[in-house]
Amino acid sequence: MNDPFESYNARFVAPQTVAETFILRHKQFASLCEQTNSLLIGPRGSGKTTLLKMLKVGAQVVAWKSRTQANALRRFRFCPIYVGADRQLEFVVGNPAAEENRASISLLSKALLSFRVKFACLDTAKEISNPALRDIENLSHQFVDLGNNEAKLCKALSSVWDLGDQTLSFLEVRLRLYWQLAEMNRFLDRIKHGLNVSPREILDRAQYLSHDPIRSCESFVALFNEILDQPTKIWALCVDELEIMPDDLQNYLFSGFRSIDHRMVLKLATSPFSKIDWRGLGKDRPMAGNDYTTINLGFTTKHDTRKNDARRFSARLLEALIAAEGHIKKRDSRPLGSYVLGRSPITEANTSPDQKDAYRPPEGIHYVRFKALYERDLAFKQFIRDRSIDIDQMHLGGENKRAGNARKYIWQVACRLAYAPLSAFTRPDQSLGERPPSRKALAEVYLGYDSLLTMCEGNPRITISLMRPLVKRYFGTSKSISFEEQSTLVEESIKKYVSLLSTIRVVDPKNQIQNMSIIDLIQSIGSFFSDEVVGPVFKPEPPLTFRIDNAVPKEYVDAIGAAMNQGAFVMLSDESGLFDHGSIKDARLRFSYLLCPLYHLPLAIGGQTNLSRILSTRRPRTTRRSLTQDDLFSRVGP
Amino acid sequence: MNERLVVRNLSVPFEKMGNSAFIYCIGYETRSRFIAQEYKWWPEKTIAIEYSIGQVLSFEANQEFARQSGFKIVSDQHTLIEAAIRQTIASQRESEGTANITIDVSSMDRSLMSRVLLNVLDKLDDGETMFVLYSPSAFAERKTNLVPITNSGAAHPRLAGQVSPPDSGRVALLGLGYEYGVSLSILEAHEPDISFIFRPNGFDDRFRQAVRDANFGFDFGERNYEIIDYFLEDMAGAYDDISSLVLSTKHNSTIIAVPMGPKILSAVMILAGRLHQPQLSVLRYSVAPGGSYQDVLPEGLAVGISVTVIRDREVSAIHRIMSGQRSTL
Repeated sequence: MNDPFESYNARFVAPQTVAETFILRHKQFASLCEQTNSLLIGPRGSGKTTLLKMLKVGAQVVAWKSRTQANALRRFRFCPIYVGADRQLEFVVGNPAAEENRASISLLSKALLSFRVKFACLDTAKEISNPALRDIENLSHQFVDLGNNEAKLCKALSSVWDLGDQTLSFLEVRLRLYWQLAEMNRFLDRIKHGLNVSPREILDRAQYLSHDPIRSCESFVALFNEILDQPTKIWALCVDELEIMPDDLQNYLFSGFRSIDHRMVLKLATSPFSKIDWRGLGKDRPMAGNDYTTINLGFTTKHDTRKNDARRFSARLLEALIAAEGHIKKRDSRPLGSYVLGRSPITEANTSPDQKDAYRPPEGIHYVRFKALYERDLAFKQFIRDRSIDIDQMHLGGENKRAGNARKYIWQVACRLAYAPLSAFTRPDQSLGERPPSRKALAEVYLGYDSLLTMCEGNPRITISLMRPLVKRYFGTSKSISFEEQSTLVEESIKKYVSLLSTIRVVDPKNQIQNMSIIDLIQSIGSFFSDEVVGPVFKPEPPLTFRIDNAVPKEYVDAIGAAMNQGAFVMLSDESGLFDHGSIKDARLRFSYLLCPLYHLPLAIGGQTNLSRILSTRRPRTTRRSLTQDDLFSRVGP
Repeated sequence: MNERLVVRNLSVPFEKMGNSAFIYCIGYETRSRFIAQEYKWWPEKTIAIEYSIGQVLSFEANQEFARQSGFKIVSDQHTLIEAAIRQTIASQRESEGTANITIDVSSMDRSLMSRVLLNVLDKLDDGETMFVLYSPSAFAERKTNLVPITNSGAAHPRLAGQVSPPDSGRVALLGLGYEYGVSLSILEAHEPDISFIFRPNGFDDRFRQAVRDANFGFDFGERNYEIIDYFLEDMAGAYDDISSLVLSTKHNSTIIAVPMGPKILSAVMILAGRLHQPQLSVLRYSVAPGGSYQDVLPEGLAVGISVTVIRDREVSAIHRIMSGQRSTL
């Protein structure tokens, strides 16, 4: 792969390539490097796979060259075994006829995971026995000289992994595993053609298909440590993408946090929402903090205090994109992001030198905006009067006073100025009305370096897909990209994102609507928030978050959870306060900032309301038109 | 068994298929009867497959046409189609000495199409030919609703592929349709190492624009993909392209084929899928109709391919057949 950012999914990318493009999230990686069980949680594209793959010795060989990186390497001494997942089985046996073979399919899906674990064990053994490791500082401790022990180990594996014939090399073990996989495919063939295959029949003919994934790994570890005389060697079984595995496998792996061999730690990666009822495991349920450490790759907490962390991470990724696109060597580079994109009209506190002057009359950028809205928006004028705020005096006093009087309304003011119905007109009956400004393009408040970084949410995939076209445009012209051009490219990215979300199906709880998309729900929530922001009353802290209260039907909860796994919603707090994965009942969510321009919403947290309240204000489907492609960026509202 | 399929383009008029048996379906689109109506088929050699769901819009008119034409109407229920095909091929061999079957895939969904094509191919003997016809739709403004994917899976159990070792690569062959965002969603779900995206070129440029609009100007973001143009008049060329890609990648990859867009591409991918089992999985994605069913009118022409089955023969024999076909078309 010539371009390190060519693919933004690390699943099928070689660890070495992942390492070349890796932007380290120090705190999370440090936590992952602890010799404890870990649960890595994050929506799609948040970097779970990248982080897990970076543990692999093969990745470390390539990229960990700086002092910081070397320090990170020294942090862990366990030996990582990386296991990926995919959806192949789902397509092979995912037809209705296969329903009758549910027990057998469940057995085979577990067997398939066992195969993946065994292959991963072999990959790891090969990596750590690579003689090149011996000479790499900070990595030499991972090297294991197999000497003449490969044959001994393989012989032993032949027995514990039921390989049939005796094997004497890793290659032979691999070949036997291929053969066993082919045998498994024979059973799958029968199932997909509608034949009944009982678990007993499978096990009578292929005992190895009953192997337990974690036990298969444990047996490898036990043999390796014994034969190589390294009784204290610790291994990490790293299993990625739990969310695309069947529920029973997720449950099984999660339970492993409680029962894994003392020579191993378990590191699992998954999306934040799961339909599985973990409470069903009762008191045997592994507990966050005791049995495992939760590492949440979302940057959000209750008060959004980590918003700046997310921005900083996206900024680093942006600089890396610029360097890659411009073939700029790292040592020559100085930050270019803010030059390429220009600063946004609204910047985070203390991130721009001219912020204080922004409130100063007559030309301060915020002053101008407050003043303009004050003159055009009666609701805002009333609000300012009620609060006895003097717009001409906003620049005076300290940051605290400014924060109280102005800063917290900046986004509100900007959104109303851009989208609220401020143009008065006279109706035929002589009554007065107001119409919103005609606007198809994105308002400037969403554009520029600061806002775009906020919209990236610290999510590598969103950052790359949003920023990459902009960076390419920059190197095409070598000029800062105008807001107009940014608007076009950002809209395109948002449209793609919405189209992806739209394919998520919602089961209508009343069974009246056959083909309901998550977009229906997003549209309802977005329109509700939009009314709160640009409606007839100026609300200083409009609700921009919602709580999944008990009155929300399960079908909607599931669909919102699925959308959250895709990054459409961000969890601000959950029932446990641990940002654990599982149910989102009672959780407080906000829209992804990437969706906010679609509904003209501030890139801020705002107040909270219950989702059931939002849904109760929806018009019935018969009078609602579902969102179309043409509606994106042309109108808001149902 | 050593089997090959010799796939050639057909050109109108289709007189060479004169004695062929004909299979098509009675769907809800007006288009579904176009080829049955336009060309001369023997009523006793024609099977009209009747959908048991979606009996809306033009379905009744299509059903009436089939009845009046004296076609044999067969339900799409399990085994009935298979039995009708078996019977038709047998009686054709009896009367003609050889079996040639023509299938109009224009209004068949991917599952039904797989059933029919696989069944016919299984029953054809060496040297017998299956003709696959397709009637492009007349352009109509498409619905642009953002719709969910309601179903996905193998188009047919026999085209489901297999589970492969974790070190296999992943290749996608994706046909573009004009359902907004669906192609992107498919790429997102499967995350192939490389995707070959098949872009349709038909007879009406408005389609091209509609496909472009639904697929973000053919910009699929930060992915490793290549766009391959195919032409409805040259589906044999598309078959060759697909076969070449499958042959060159199947040794170290699992391949998924997702034929969105014109049904004739689905037919071609099903043919390739049959030949390259178990390395190639042919998948279908069902998208919820944008609010309601939409009638589709025919453009007024037909395109197609001939598929000759070659079994247990030497390469020289295949050359002879191919040169023979060239002279008759």
